[in-house]
Amino acid sequence: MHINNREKKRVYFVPYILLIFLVVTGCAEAKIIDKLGILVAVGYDLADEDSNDRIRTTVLSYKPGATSTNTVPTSASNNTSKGVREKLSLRTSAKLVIGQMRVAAYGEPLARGGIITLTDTFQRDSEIGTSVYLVVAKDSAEQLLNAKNRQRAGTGDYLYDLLKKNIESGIVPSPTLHHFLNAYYRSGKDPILPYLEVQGDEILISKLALMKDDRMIGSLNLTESFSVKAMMGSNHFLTHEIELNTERLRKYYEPTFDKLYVTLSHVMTKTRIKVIDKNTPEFQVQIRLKGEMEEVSDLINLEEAEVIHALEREAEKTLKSEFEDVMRKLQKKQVDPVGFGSHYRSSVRVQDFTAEKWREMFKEARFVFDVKVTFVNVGITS
Amino acid sequence: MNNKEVDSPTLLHPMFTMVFMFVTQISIGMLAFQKYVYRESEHDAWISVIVAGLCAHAVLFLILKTLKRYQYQDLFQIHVRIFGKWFGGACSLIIICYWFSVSVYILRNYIEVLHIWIFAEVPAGVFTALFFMLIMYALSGGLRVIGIVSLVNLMLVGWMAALLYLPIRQAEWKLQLLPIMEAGMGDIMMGSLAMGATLGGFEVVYYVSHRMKQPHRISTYAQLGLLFVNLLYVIVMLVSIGYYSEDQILNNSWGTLSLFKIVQFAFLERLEFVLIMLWLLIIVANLLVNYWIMTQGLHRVFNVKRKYACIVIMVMALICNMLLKTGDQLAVVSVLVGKLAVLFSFAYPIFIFIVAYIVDYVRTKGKEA
Repeated sequence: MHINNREKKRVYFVPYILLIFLVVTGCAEAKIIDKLGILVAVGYDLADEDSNDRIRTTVLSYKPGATSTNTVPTSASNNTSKGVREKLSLRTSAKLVIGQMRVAAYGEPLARGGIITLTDTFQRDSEIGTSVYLVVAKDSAEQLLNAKNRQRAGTGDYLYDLLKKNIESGIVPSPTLHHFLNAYYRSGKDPILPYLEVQGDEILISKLALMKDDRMIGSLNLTESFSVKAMMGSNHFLTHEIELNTERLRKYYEPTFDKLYVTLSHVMTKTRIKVIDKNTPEFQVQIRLKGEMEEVSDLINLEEAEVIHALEREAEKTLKSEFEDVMRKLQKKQVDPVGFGSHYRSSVRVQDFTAEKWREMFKEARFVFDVKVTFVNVGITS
Repeated sequence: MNNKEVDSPTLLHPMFTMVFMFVTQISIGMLAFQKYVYRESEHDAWISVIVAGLCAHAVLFLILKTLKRYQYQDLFQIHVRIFGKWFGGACSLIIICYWFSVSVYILRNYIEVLHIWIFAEVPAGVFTALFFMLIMYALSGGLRVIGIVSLVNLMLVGWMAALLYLPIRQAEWKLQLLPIMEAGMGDIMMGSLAMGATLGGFEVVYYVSHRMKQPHRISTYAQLGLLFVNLLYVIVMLVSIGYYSEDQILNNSWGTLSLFKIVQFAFLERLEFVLIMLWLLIIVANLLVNYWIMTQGLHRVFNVKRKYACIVIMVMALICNMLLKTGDQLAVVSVLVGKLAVLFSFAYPIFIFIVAYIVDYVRTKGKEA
């Protein structure tokens, strides 16, 4: 009986607790989706020189209530990227929320001055995930976010899809906030970001922006971008075109043009980087590239295995010289987007390995490329 | 141990030792331990975690030896048997104060997470009061209810560990972990000390063993529980080292939560929110054990009713939680509690073991003479 009473008492306690929980829910900030302006992209630029403000921020948000994919850009200037919210809220009826942000664009002049303070606020913010894409925009980010694309998709979604596709199967190395910060905070590696341009009514990724710490200092064209991404580990590319030297291939076919190109599709690369000399330092970069040969720019009879192998050897030579060229460029600029410094640090016991020290060593470093190309098949015809 | 007690329905299966160890060791520390260990021993931090884990196993062994010597009575009774009523009672009070500080530290830190991530505007006092209602309700059911609630909560949260697969996929272990043992022995030890603050809590066996059926069987379960906890910490540490780069890990105050920031599904954008809310279950279970130990202690020392003891503690904890207003105040308290945890989880059991041995030796000698 005694236990029963106790049990009863405890049961009476329950409704009171539930009642309090009901009341307390009012304490939390309500976010009603119809009244939110959901940000999909943010752009940062240097503010006009004559104004007192430092940064001009453009946000791209869904129209509240509208079911279409239409997004509206809004811009305002302030000294900090988050402080600008105060001014932005004077221009929008909806409450801007940042949790769905996909793309953050930085205007080139701003990117050349350094963007770490602007990315640091993303990391600090619990609302933002770490898979936001960071990009550099030619001229200004405001212009990029205001641009219309030919597909007439919402600019935010379009940017996101464009980047996502090219990261998964193109020449763009992953530019997520996580990867950017990971490289930035690592002594032996530099971040690398895609560089977007508006040409007429088209938005395109025209090259990759080389970052030294958080400052953009140069760019890589498409061939160089391919080389860098191929060196960054196992990757997948949709297609890649390789120019071959015609001289040595003359005995296999009758050239009709001066140059010979092959295009590979479903390209898979595997890369291993080894330190072979600690003092120079010297790296051995072993790259294995596999792909289906889809197109040759001249008529070649590919029935003989010998011919295919000859083409493969030529492709290796071309790629090797491309890799060497891009390394020379990177060494000249003293940026290391591939992360050779990390490989060095993890295989050599060096005390107080710092970014500055590595930059000096990187300039003197030597690279031996061991490239192997395999044509998995040559398509249906031979 | 008489038969009546063994058959009593309020006793628990010795397996629950494991459950109690899980919930006391994996609390708020699991969300944020990486930075503090990494600061000392850099990319060899995982070795520090293992070293700290081995120390914990050794200390747990001593705790179990001490318990065996005193027929699995709880620490408060052991205090009285070693030091006598007055000094033993004082020791118990100090222990209660330690558990009190731990409970404040855990709850306030969890509320901090809630503030940062989800409810920025809700005052800490409101959260504390809500927690206390849950705790008071469950406490009235006794240790048996606490054990079962903890077990259920653990099962509800445990599956989250599988999601570590996503950061693992992006981890670059070869670049981040090698070369092994670059940190000196001293650094590794300092790292272990930092880890000790997180690992503390296994001394919960001191208090719960007398409520187990066949308490002599708890040794295996306790060591096994500790082993699982250690493995989990090592795994999370390894994933963090591989996933983050050097300064990135040092910059991040909530290392484990940020690991889940990349988990993204089409239907669920940000999984760490789910983790935070599920973590509430772990925190509640942890606080339940804490409060049970404190009320038990006050009951033993002052022979007061548990209900009143509980209310007194809660009022004090509420005041403490409300006094801690900013993140930096909290950081100061956290560092302090971390040091206390090393002292009371690692050093104190060794001290008790040695004293118990000496006292026993002297007493048996005295009897013989």
